[in-house]
Amino acid sequence: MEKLRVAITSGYVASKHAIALVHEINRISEVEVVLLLQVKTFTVRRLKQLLRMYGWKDAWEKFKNVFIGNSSNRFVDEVKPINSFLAERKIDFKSTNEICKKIGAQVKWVASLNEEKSIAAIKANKVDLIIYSGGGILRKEFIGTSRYGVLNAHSGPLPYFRGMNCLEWALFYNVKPEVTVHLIDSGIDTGPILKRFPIEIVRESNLSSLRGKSVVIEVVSIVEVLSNFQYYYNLRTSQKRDNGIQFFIMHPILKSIINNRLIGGWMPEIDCEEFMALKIRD
Amino acid sequence: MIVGEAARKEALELSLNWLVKSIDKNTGGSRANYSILFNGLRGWSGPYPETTGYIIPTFLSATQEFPEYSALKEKAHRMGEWLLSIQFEDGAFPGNIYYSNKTLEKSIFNTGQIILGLTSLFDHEQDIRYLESATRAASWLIANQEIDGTWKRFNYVADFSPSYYTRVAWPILKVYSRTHDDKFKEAAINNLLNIKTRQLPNGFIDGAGFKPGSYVFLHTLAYTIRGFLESSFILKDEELWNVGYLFAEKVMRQFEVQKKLHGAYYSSFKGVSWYQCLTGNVQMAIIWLKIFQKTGDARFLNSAIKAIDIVTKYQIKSSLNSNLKGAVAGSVPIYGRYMAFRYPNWAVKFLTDALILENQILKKL
Repeated sequence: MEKLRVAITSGYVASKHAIALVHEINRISEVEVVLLLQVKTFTVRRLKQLLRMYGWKDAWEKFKNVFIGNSSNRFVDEVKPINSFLAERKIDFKSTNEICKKIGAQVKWVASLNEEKSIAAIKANKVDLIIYSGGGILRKEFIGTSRYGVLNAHSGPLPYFRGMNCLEWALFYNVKPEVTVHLIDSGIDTGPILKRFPIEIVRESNLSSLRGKSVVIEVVSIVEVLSNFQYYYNLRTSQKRDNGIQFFIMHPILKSIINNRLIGGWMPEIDCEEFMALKIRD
Repeated sequence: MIVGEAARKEALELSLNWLVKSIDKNTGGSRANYSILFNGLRGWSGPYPETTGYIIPTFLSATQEFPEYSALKEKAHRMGEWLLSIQFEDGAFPGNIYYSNKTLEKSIFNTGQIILGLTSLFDHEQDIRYLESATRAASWLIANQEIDGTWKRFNYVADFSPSYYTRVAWPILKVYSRTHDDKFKEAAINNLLNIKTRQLPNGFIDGAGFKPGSYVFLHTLAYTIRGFLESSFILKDEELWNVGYLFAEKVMRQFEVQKKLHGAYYSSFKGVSWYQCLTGNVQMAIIWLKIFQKTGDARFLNSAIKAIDIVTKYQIKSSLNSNLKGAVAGSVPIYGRYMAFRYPNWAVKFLTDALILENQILKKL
């Protein structure tokens, strides 16, 4: 049986999420990582996008964490789980370049995933499936380039919670958080669902540690789906557009309210279906 | 402690102190704006009956919510007494800024806004004079209303009955809900249904600006939506609610995608983006907070908090000129088209209302 030829996108060269994915996917015997699409971080467009998404304060803190290894800012708890995950598996690659060199996968540097160079590389490498690990908004042409499309692990339960900060939004509504592995289509988190994975909350969690945990679950869930890809692919279910809500970036005040709840030992209680009974509609 | 709690408290204190500073010592009314460019060295304009009217409920809700501001009750009372003293015989109230040496002209919109103050004073003090005054004012409004629910006279622009007159229907309904006289209800519904027909398929409501066929400042756009929502609350009318909701939801999505609200909009939702209308930001925040209260859709709460952030960021925290401490400009940049080079009292009024409502909601979460 031929191996599934996989390409992985990466939002920045030191992305621990992307490094973990490359490493773990490459261990699956039926899968071969053949290409890494590395988006250039320091382009004006990219920086603008990051600033729009996070605001300059959070963008700077995240930058310090990734590139300087700062251990005193508020994103520390967020990176701990992925650091532990990498340490447990003895993954000590410092960049996507380094790990791809080791496994023999091609690295293609692109300013945007949607550009011609990127699409040409996917075609040249006869990629069956693309795994999304950051790099910006995808256009239709990119999504349709490979045989199966683009697989993504979304940090909220689909179809219910779409868009940004869905872990946080689920918690805001007292909904048990989940990661959803789905195929990307031209809508925002509206593509077919392959599988949903629960995020277990332990007491004394805080919002940052939970977000960090969800990053690890995103990696693990993608690996699980890829380990039996045809099975999950055949089981995929389409989403109804009006079964979910598109959320936007959550304000720090609301995050802080959720964080206070978590620190106080609160646990979310309801399932997505109960949430939908609240009749909040997009 | 919630992130940003201290900053919000500071903004509220700055706002209420500035509104108190805006009060004219002779009349007890709140002066319309501070501007050295427009008002000369004295800086302050004359008192403004319209906004004095709707600052009354702001003061009264501040005293209810925060006991430390209980002294504002007396200020609100004095504002009400001044308004009673300038009401025309036929029940109308004057438009424009009040100068004792100038002729007063009757105004539909301003009369409506003053009713908001009178009814809230009646609710708080149970003094029948305020309700009688509000009833006479509402009677004058409906006496001058056209058969189709619009107004042709006593407008800002002659013959143009703008869509933000939903904010005239709302005060008329306030009188209805206290007098139970159906003629007020019928007149308000007549106006609202007329304006409802102006809603475009994209949710925008035509004619919501000061002038016909022009762009619409965020300020009057928000007035229009608020009128529909508040009227729907009083009438328990889902149809009117849906008109306001659809418009408000479109603006919310635009705000989240573009990360800012534009100073003005065309009916295609194309924004006039080179300036922001700060009062419009907090007016939209109030609308979104009310939508969250009714629907539980937290995206509206989220957007409201962000919109309040924008205005508190531009509120003047310290200045060598004490008249500016706590002020909020009409536009950012200050030379923007909406109230250029002026600090209007209604920008701070709506910021205060937004902060109070936001606090009520957040403390329940």
